[in-house]
Amino acid sequence: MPEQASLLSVKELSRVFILRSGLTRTRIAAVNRVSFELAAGRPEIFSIVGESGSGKSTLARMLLGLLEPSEGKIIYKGRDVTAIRRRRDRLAFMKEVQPVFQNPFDTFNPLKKVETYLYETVYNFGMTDNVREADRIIDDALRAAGLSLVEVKGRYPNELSGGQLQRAAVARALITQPSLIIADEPVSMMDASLRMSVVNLFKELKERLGVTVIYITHDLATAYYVSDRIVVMLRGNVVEQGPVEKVLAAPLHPYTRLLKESVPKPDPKDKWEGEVKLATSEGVEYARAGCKFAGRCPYVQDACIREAPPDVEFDGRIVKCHRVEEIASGTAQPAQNGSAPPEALRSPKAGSQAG
Amino acid sequence: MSLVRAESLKAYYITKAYGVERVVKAVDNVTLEVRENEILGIAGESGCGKSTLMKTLLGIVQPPLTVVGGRVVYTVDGKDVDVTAASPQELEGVRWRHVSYVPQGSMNVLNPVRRIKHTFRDFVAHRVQRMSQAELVKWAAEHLKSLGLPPEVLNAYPHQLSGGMKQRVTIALATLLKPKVIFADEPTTALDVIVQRGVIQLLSRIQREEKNSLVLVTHDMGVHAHLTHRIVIMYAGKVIEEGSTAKIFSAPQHPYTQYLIGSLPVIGDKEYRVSAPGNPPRLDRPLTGCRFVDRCPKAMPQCRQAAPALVETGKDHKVACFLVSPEEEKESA
Repeated sequence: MPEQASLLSVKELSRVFILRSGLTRTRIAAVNRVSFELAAGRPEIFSIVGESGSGKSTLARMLLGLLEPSEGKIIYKGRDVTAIRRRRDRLAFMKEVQPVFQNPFDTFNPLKKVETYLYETVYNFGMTDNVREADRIIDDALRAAGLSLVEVKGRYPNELSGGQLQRAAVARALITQPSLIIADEPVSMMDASLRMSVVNLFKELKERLGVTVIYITHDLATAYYVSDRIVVMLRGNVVEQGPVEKVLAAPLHPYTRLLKESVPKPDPKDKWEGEVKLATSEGVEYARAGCKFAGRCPYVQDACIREAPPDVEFDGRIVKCHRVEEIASGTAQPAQNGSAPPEALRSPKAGSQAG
Repeated sequence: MSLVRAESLKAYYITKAYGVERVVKAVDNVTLEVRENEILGIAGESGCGKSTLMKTLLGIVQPPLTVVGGRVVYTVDGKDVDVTAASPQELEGVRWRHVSYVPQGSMNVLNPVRRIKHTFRDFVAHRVQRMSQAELVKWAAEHLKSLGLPPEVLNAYPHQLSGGMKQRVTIALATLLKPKVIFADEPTTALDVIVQRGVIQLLSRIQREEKNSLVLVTHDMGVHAHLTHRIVIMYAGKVIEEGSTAKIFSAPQHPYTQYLIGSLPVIGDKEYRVSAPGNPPRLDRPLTGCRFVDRCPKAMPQCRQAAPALVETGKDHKVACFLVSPEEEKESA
């Protein structure tokens, strides 16, 4: 693949955390060999979804350069980001790739005016030295996010609503005119109506300014609504990735199916049937050698427990499952007793090796 | 028959700093009832007074929160108890037995340095006659088993459990003494969809088996659709619509409710969705008229002059909007 054509290319990216307690060591692969590619010149909204503890945020922090990967490469516009050492290069990368974080009330210091952060961003990235020019840049960015400098100037974070504040956070990210915005759970603290206004804002940024957005969330309904492509993560692994119309509208991986089914539909006539099986402890699933979903999967086989499933290309997407073809054709039979093998409650240490 | 009633309830946050008094009317003239054997949902944006209403209904009123008018009444064994005037001892007598509470962010309420069984012991120590540790563990294990949770969690510390499991253990604690009414404040908000589904299943199962009442506060309309029988929609401290869940979703009458239902994204539908424009009004300023007037696409001059009353428009359906009924809200003392 020609490197020039891609905006961001993530190759076999992994991050391993080692938990020590006494003499035992537990190895947790929070992100395990994740690969994906964002094309340059074709702005899109790329969603990463998964439960909490699936490694979404770890992945985001690595992409932003806040955390060093254990293995793998992050190539931004043909340059390996993990190898950047010089401050000037780092700054140039930060200018291009900007974050928006989860809770806007935590992002802004309550004792500082909101505009402080906007001006700081302008001066720190050397956009201009002129105050009037800075005003203009900030006003443009705020307007792109549906606010204006007049509305924000002189106000403290507590004087703005959550939605306005998150818009200000997006505006701050827009100041440097980035090509890529990485938004880590930007709407999870908001209620439905605010959610839609922020999500619609991302759509606008993509269409009007040509910004690519990596939208990290556990809200599948908004992910379907805004995104073009989607990645579904489970315990550090990407289990299914592809166009959102395929992955969410007709999921193949049993985990994606369960996720989709579990979104409560806003329709009282359409309720769930059957009981859902929950993971008792995350540690057990992380420590599992085979498929991480084997403990809860209705189609589990011996092979699923023994060995990790391969990435299978199927119907325009990549699915990490041993039985994807059988599942897609509808010939897969659920396990004999109708449910997965019982999973005893164990502490996360149970799957560790002595060190 | 009602189990909990709020009558023209007004609960304001009153603060005084440097001689300037600030009054936030978080709950303003709210009347509602919790009936026997039902799941009542309370919906609305953040900051609309849902949680304050719940605190007042539970009698957890601490300054700066002040009950300015109205009252909350529990019906315990056929007798009325006025919670707003009750002494702490009386409240202690009805809490956890008549009403119990699953607080917001309740997966963080478990003591991190004590095993779950000790938390159970701490919880029942003052409320039940003395029992031995073995008896208590047996009782707790049976209760957990009846809720479909593995009794092994009793020996675990909170950090060994997943978020959903902690949440369900908290629900088990709140239902241990078989209360008539359970108040749950955003019980699923911090959880992922699959775990949320498990928690919702647990709550509805408890309600089905015990035939008690559940009051569920959340802003997630999907959860309301799945769980509740009736919904109360709040906006800026007032109840603006109340009705059966099916009615609220199929034929919402208040413009705000219409926005709330219409803006929900659904998988399989990429149509552009608009949310209500603008922001809710500030509750620390004097407000006249309908609270939604500035964001309402159908606002009329009349809407700015007086607040509409919550009137019955059909069987079990009440709306406060001049488009539906011209009746004005009466200011009660």
